[in-house]
Amino acid sequence: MSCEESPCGEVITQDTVLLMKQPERAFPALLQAQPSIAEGLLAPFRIDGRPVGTVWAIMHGQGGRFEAEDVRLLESLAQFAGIARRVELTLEIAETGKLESETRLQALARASSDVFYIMSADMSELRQLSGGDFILDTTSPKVAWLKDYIPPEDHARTAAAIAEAIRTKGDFELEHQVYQADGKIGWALSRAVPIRGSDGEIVEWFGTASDVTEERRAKIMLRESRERQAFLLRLSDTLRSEPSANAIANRALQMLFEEMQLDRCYIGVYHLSEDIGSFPHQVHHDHLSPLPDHVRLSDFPKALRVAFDRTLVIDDVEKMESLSATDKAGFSALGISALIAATLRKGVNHPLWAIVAVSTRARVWAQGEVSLVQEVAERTWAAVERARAEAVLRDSEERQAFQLQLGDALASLVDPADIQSEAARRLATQLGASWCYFNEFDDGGTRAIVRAEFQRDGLPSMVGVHDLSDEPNFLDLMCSGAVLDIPNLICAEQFSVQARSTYASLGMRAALGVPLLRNGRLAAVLLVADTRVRHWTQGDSELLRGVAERTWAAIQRARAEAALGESEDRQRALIEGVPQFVWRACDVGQWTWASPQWTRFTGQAETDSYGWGWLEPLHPDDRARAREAWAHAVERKILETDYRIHDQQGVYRWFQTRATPIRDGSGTIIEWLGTSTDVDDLRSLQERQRILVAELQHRTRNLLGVTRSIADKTMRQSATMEDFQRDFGARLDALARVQGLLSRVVDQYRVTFDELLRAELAAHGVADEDEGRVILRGADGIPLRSSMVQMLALVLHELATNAVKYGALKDRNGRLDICWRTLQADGRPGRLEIIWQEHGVMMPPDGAAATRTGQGRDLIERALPYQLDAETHYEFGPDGIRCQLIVPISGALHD
Amino acid sequence: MTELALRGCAILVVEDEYLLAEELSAALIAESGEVVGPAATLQQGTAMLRDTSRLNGAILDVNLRGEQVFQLADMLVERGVPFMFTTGYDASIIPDRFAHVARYEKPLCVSQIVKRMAQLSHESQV
Repeated sequence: MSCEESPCGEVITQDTVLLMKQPERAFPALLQAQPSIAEGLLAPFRIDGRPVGTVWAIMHGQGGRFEAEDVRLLESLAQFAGIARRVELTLEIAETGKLESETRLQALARASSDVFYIMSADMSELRQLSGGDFILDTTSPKVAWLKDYIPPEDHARTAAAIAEAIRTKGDFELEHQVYQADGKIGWALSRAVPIRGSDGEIVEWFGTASDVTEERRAKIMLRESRERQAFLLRLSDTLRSEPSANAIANRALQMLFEEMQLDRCYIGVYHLSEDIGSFPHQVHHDHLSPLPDHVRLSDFPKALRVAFDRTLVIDDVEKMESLSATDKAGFSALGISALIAATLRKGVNHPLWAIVAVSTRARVWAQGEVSLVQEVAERTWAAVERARAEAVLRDSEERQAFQLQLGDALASLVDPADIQSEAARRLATQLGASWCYFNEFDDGGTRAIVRAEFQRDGLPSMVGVHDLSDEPNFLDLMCSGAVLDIPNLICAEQFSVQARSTYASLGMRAALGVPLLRNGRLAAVLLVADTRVRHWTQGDSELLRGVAERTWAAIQRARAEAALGESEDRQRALIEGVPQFVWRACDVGQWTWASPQWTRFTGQAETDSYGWGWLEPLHPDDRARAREAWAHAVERKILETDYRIHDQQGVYRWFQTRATPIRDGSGTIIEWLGTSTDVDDLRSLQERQRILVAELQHRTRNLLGVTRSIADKTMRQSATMEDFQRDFGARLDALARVQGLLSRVVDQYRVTFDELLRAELAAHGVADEDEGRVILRGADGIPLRSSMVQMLALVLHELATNAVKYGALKDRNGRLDICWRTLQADGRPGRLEIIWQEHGVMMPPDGAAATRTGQGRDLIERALPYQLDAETHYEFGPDGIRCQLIVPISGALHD
Repeated sequence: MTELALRGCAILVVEDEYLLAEELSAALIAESGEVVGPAATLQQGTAMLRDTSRLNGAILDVNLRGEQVFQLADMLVERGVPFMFTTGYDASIIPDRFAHVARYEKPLCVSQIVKRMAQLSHESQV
């Protein structure tokens, strides 16, 4: 294809780099390319400053794009291409020349464009030299030619080559250094052939030399370039295997240091706003001291200026005119005489970072060395950045893994204090911290309670209550939700001097804390602390936040569960401990649950009580009422009813039942909670009390009636007030004794006949078995009904009174015999027979006794049969009365 | 008390306490009344009522050996015989259907009862 129609031609014509997007549009010939070309990048290469060819880079496929860095690389490659072409051409010329040149003339003709010379046969004398533009001419023979033309380091080599040529009588050829006409040192390729005389001996030497300085340099550059590329490849490989950003930086410096045989090599970081340049990484010869941590950038004003936009190269600080005295003093103080500082920049005027190669003596830096430092700086930066990004990612992944593990560990714990301890232990271990604990704040927000913690062996505990009311800065910071980041407690303004000194005395040097806010209130702060000054990272505080949230949630969960558990336990204990039946019902009366007491009492299984099943143990007469009560429960908002429930033996007892509705948030009744309380004893007692009160009234009123009646009768029978007083008093006493006996009647106890009789006799001054005058015969403990006691007592009173006044007890001759027994007859109620028999009594004439015994007889013969259905016989025997009383003691008469 | 207020009146006395029954009977007789009974039990009282064709009034103790007298009271109502209650209990024990019946609490004021009995028996005779 013709030059003009190809991109190559255009690049050579324009002598510039060409970036082609979809190049087939401008150059249809490229359509044939397979796969298709997305972008093409072409750079010209030059010989003697003239473009002679192009280097291509092709990007296939759709996604690829060339970048500025690629252009730079391609241009660099094009440079090498130019040099390589030049060397190739020169070598071609040289080899062709050697083949053709066998004669002096031919040699002269070929060499005329360069240098030619004639030397003596032993080459000790230079007879003539024509140097062209390359080296100085010699017109008259010269013996000291060697030192005039050749630098001393090549003298030995030259002499050796000469000696060899003379010895072999062959051609001389040597590439050596030479002093150029301009005083610089160049390289010459020198060849000489011997001119022989007729005798065959060498007469003189004819030689030519050509300027191979460029070729030589190109070769060196090529070699250096290859070496550099190899070094950079090795560097990349090595850096890739380094584990961290720091290791990468240190390794890169070390390699560069060795490759360039430097005295010192370091990374400088620019902190423009702080006027500080720091040296985080450096390598140097053992006999040199490390650089200080940092320097003031303003001590290097000119050098800094340069670093702003290009690589700073200083061969000799003292001799570099563009440096100020300040710069020179600054470098001198650091022991730097020569340097290359390759700076990485982010935009204009924003240098970030430099790799600096240093020599303690003046050193002329080759361009390749400058390039090398630049390359190393760029590659190192890229590797460091990549390592940092990976580290951040790895940290993040590690944090996530840690948090997951923490979550798993905490989930299995139930005690809030254990959760705190475990989280603190794990976090402290993960961060390599010395303490870790929660400050929990009370409602006032100034008292912090530490319940559990982790601290490394031997360190003081933080458990306890801490009053932080004097630390407003700390509290304000925490309430704002910000992180408490204290690399060095000594200068922590978040705390008062007092607090700092307290923490320092505990051995604390650094602390990191994150607050937990709940409803805008400071609930807790999770703290880690260290015994050394420590710069906490972003990752540290993020981890802390994550752990704080997770742990706090776990603590709150555990506390809620514990509280719920306690509450449930208490409730269960209460429900199962009370004597009442407790139950739940839905839908007005349908039970859904019953406490164990229900089953224990009724014998009905709990599940059988569900729905309306609970009606079954109720008394059949009460079931309708129970349903009726439920029918009105909703409108009354309460259920209150009494019914009887049978126990396991089928015995019914009264229960009072109450239930109240449970409502949801909207007021709808969800269910009813009810209790049934055994009120059977209460009801019995109430009934008994009602009966007792009525009975008491009845008795009292009757007694008063009886008393008045007795008073009336006594009055009628009394001749004088004294008689009345005596007889009425005695009768009243008898009544009173009966009341006394009756008042002791409770439950199963009954007044017994012997008891009543002895009380009455004792009231008349008659002791038991009194000197044989009174004989009592009968069983003790025969119970009397309460209703008969009073009348019987009155009868005995009258009998005894008469006996004392007129009968057996009147004087020592009388004798009283009282015997009693119970009579049992089939089909009849039990009866008590009492026989009162007096002896040794002087009986009055007929009729007189009857008058005296009026009151007693009336009671015996009329009142007892009337009131107690008794059979009585009262008769006057020859020496005393005989009275037989047969009284029913059980049966129809009410108690 | 008017002389001979109860002349010719037959009054049934039902009272289980002998002394009280005697006292009441004595007071009625003192006013020229005729006493039917006294009866100490519901059974006795019922029998006497059945056996007596002429009866002008009745005095009933509410509690007779543990039995309540109201069955007898109903029979008196049926026969149109006026009567009154005496009781040692609260008046509340008496059923509502006898709310209009005179009642006297023990201890009794016998003269009042006799006077009231006289009124009742005359009213029933008119």
